[in-house]
Parts: sequence; structure tokens; C-alpha cells
Amino acid sequence: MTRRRAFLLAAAVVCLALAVIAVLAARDVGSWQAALRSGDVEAAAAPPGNVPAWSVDEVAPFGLARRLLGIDDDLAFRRAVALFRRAHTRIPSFDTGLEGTALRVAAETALAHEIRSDPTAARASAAANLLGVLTVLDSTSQAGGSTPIERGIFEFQDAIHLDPADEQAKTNLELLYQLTSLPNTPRGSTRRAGRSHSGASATSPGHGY
Amino acid sequence: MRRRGIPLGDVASLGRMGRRTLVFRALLAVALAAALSAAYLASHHTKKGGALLPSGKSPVVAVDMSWSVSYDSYRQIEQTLRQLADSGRRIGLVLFSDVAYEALPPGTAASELRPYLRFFEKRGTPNPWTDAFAGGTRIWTALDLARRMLKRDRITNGSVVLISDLADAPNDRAQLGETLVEYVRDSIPIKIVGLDPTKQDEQLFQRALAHGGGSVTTLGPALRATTSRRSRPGFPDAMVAAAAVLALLLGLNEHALGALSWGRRRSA
Repeated sequence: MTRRRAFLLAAAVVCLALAVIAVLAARDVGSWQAALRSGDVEAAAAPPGNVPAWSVDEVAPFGLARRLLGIDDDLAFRRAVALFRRAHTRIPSFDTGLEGTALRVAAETALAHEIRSDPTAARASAAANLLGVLTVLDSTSQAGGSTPIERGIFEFQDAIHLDPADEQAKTNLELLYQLTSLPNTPRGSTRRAGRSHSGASATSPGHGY
Repeated sequence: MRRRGIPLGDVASLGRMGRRTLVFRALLAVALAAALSAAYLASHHTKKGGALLPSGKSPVVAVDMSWSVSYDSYRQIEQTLRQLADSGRRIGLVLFSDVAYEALPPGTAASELRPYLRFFEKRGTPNPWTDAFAGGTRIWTALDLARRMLKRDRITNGSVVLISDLADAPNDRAQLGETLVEYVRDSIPIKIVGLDPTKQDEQLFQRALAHGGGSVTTLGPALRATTSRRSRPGFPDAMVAAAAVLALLLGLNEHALGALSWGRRRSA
């Protein structure tokens, strides 16, 4: 066998290996698409206690498909929101119990990680908004009464800073301002008179920040 | 000294190919050296990941002094501190129960831990903090103090090693969550050495650290070997890739730059 022929044979083997990896990666890409779709449906339909896995047993080496798709941030966001749902069941006995508070700690760190690492401003803002909600729950619940409610204000402000179009964060911030304002201030008197409309202030919702 | 050889008449015509081979050989040598270094660093990193102190970080060690820490655990603390003292690293030390106390500032030589070992040789040995500590476990106070120490000393690559039974007061979960959120914000990894914690307590910290870059290592009751409970030990991708590149380059070297071999004369 000549040298050139050996070289061509080696190149053919390499190409064949690359082709096999490409086929496996393509299969994994399809599996990821299906897993994301079914996970989203499951998350929307299932009770808060269930967290979809959003996972695929990848065949291609080194998590190639996941890396090529760049879905790590999408998965992290979904998992953080699912954790929030689990931690905030609106059942007081669960939310303030051992399991509920432990889930809340996990949800808070997951959301904080999301705020820090997600390149999409809208998603980071949504995570900050959800973290603000958990913080307010912490500060108003008996279990965590010593958490300052100002932390909630900070989180909502952070959410608005990350995405100025985040209407939910603006509404939550306004609500919190009303809750924490003294009665002799305009916001406090609005709350006292019960004139606040659907959580927003007297100004058009979402403006003035 | 030049090697003697048969002089060639048309050596000048080979000059261009010679230079090209030289450049190729140099590039290949650099690539080989880089791949070898990468493989070494990757394997080094994998090995260091299992160590008690995170590599390349300025750690603060927080030690639980509460009454819930059992007699067995005191011996484990002593062994762990001895291991840290022998590490030759620079560390900070926080002792805590329901309040936290800065015993050693960050950057202190780890050998300074040795004088503290005597307090952990036997449970009940009087120590200077007995009166100050009430006996409860408030982990967030230690984590908060350790983070503030790193911030105060402007240590940007800091980390925290928490040695505790993790029997935290349930009423403090909100503050614990708040403190862990600050750790995530500041990208400070936490490594927890759990002293025979309950399953629930261990799970609480594993879940919380899953998103912030940390790990929980549990020490059993009878001084059994350290068991890492990280959910998914990372596959050494970088090392495998570097080794593959190294093998490929070596193959290329043999193929393209191997010594000329003259074929045997075929027998008639």
C-alpha cells in the first residue's frame, strides 16, 4: 500500500466517524425538540408539584447536540420557573413548612443564577420578578419575618432595569410601594382609600420608571 | 558541527521544500506541546476537584461549633482541620453557632489552624467562645460573615468551605435563601463538608447549591471515607479532547515527518 493510499484510507475512516457522529447528533437534536415541547406541555398542565425533566439521553458524545443547539440557558430558565411553581403553591401550610421553605431556598438560588447568567434580558427580568415575589413572601410569612421587604423592592427594580418593558415587575413594584408607604403619603392614602386599580397606581401602568 | 554526507549537486532545488518542512515541524512541535499541556492541565483540574479546598481560590473555612455537632463529628472536624492545616494554602476561618466569629482573616497561612485543633480533640474541651455561643445552628450567619470578609478584603476569586452538621434552624430558611442568593450574585462557590447530616438537611443544601456552583461532601458517623454526593460527576471532556488532539498530532508527525526508510530489495 502506497503512502498516499494509506493517507486516503485514514482520511476516509475519519470522515466516516464524523458522519456517524453527525447522524447521532441529528437524532439527538430531534429528541431535544420533542423533549422541550412535551416538557413545556407537561409543565403547563401538571400540578405545581411535578417538575418535567426536559432531558434527553443523548447518543452523540460530549453532549454535542445540546451544545450545538445552545439550549442550556433555555433549560435553566424552564427549571427555575418550575422550581418557583413548586415553591409557591399558595397553600400556606406547605409554603411555610419544612419542604416548602427548602424548595423556596432552591428556587431562589436557581432564579438568582438565572438573573446572573441568562443572556436574554426579558428572561433574566422575569426571573428577577419571580425572585421578588418569593422575597416578598419570605418577608411577609411568619417563617421569615426578619427578611426586609425592601429586598423585594430591589428585586422588582432589578427586573425593570433588566427589561424596561416588563409590565409585571412594574405592577408588582407599584403594589409593593403602596403596601410599604406611610398612610400620609400619596401612595399610602391611595391604598387606604381602596382606589388602587388592579395593582397599578393612579398613573398609567408601566410608565415613570 | 555539520554531519558528513554525500554531497548533492542539486541541493539548492530542495531548499524550498526543506524550509517548508522546517516550518511544518516547528508548528507541529508547538501544537504538540500545547496539546500535552492542555491534557496535563485538564487531568490536574479533574484531580483537584475532589480536594477539600477548591483549587485556585482563596477559601474561608466556616466551622460549626454548635451543640448539635456530635462527639464523633468533633473528631471529624479535627481531622478535617488538620488536613487543611497541612495543605500549605492561605485561608480565613469563621467559627459559628448562633452567631459567627471571625477567627482568622482571609489570607492567613493554613498552618495557623494548628492551635485550634486542641479544641476539637475532645468534645467539651473549654474554648474561648463557649460563653459567646448559645449553642444553636444558624448557618446563614457564618455564610454571611464569610462573604463579607471576602468582600472587605477585596478577594475576587474567593470560596467558602462550610464544615457543619447542617442542622439549621427552620425559621432561618428565609435568611439562608437570601444569603445563598448573594453568593450566586457574587459567584462565590460553596463547598460543604457535612458532618453526618440528616437526609433532609443534606438535600436542602444540595438543591440550593445545584445552581450556584457548589458541592456537598458528607462525612459519615464512623469516620468512614469521604463520600462525594455530587449528583453528576463531570465527564473529563477537556482531557479526553486534549488527549485525542495529542494522539492525532502524534500520528500526523509520524506520517508526515517520520524518518525515511528504504525499502528492502525484493528477492528475485
